[in-house]
Amino acid sequence: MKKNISLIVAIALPLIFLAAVAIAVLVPAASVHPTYSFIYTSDPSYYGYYGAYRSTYIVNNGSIALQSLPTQPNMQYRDEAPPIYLYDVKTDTTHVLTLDQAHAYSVDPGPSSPDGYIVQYEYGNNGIFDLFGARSDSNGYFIEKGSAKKKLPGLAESNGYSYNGSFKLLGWIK
Amino acid sequence: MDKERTLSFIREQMASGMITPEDLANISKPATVHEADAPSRNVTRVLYGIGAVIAVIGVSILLAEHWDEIGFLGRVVPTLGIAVATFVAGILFKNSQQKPLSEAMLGISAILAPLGSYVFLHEIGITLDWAVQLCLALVWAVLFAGATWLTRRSAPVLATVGFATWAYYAFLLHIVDVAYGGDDFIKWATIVLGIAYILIAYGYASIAGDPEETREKQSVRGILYDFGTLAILGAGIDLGGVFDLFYVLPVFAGFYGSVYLKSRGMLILSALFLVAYIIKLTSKYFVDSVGWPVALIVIGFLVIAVGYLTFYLNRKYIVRS
Repeated sequence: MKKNISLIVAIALPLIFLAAVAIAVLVPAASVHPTYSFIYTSDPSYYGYYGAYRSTYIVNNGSIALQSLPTQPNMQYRDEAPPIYLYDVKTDTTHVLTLDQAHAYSVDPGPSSPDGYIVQYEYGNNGIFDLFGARSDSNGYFIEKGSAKKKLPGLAESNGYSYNGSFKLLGWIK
Repeated sequence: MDKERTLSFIREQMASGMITPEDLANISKPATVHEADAPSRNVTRVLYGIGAVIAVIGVSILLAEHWDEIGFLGRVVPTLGIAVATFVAGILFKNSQQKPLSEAMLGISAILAPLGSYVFLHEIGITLDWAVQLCLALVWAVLFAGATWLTRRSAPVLATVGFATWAYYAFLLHIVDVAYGGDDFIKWATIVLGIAYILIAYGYASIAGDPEETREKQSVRGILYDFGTLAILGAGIDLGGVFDLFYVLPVFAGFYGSVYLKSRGMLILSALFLVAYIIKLTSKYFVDSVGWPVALIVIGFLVIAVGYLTFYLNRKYIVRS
């Protein structure tokens, strides 16, 4: 009987743990309902291989505008400015915008959205000793408010934004 | 002691419950065929094991060298096909004369099942995402649990635990990935899994009913005790923070458990993690105050003390039993 109990506990313990983790993690995530979409750019901090951009973006009186950067001698330039994207928080999708389209939106430069959310890079789990259970695809950008957070699937590795530093939030669409 | 006194003694022991009718039936059996031909059975078992390993290596080489040429059937039949066929064969060969063969077949099936499932899903265009992995692992876990129950063999127990572990991590990593990027949940999950392994090993005697399998049962229990200890102490030492203070508790629980459960693997792992803990604490908290040379001297003597403790516990409580 004692051995049967140990088997029952052995099976029940991981199930209870999974249920507890699911409640602890998924319930706060379910409460993440951002209402403001945002505009961002991919602005890598290193320019070496591909070259630099001549301009960057600023938010001036709630509008996105271009600002020229000082020209540097011997610098390879790749383009006028980095691409701009709109992240739709309702559909978790991302769309390319032209500067004119971006300029038409009235934005709050944040970094917090009007309803208190921030977008931030999180390093995922590295498993045990970086081996057991290790995975890199849990790294990524999360939208967070307090302890509740949810991954932004639109900013996925395949879109080239998964590494920290490339993403730059320009503003939350009012 | 004459016959009457012996019989009277046995009756008294039976009345007190010390000896059961089953015990009498067991000792009254003539020297069994199994004992007489144990060496040849062991040779057969070894040959089955070698054959299983060679078959699995053959499948791997076939896939690696001829993947592009062999097409759908050529890829699926040697992987999933053999996994299913050997699984069925393992169940069919379950009678007592063919049990080692049954075990070898189920062993091949357990090794080829994940590979075969992956190849099959890849061929029909299904991505192995978390939900597919969870379903797959659960299906195989249930199948091997059924095989354990039907064959009363030890090998499928490990396969069942292995597939259940796969399902556990598939689900857990999905939960953590969806909402949170931290790794503490994974460490705690591994500790919980380690406890479950040890409990399964402890309760395992009640699920496998074949009395001929004592050695195999002990091997399976030993493997589960070792992996359980590794999971608890391996994940525990990586928690850090305030848990550095309490880590000594599971380590000494490991020493106690090794004596209580007669597990040499648990004893050795507890000793190794105690040494790792001593080195971690010394390098983290004492090197700045006493310097590396003194710290190394202290670590050296503490490691010797752990070595002696391990030797003493093993000799006094584990080897003698």
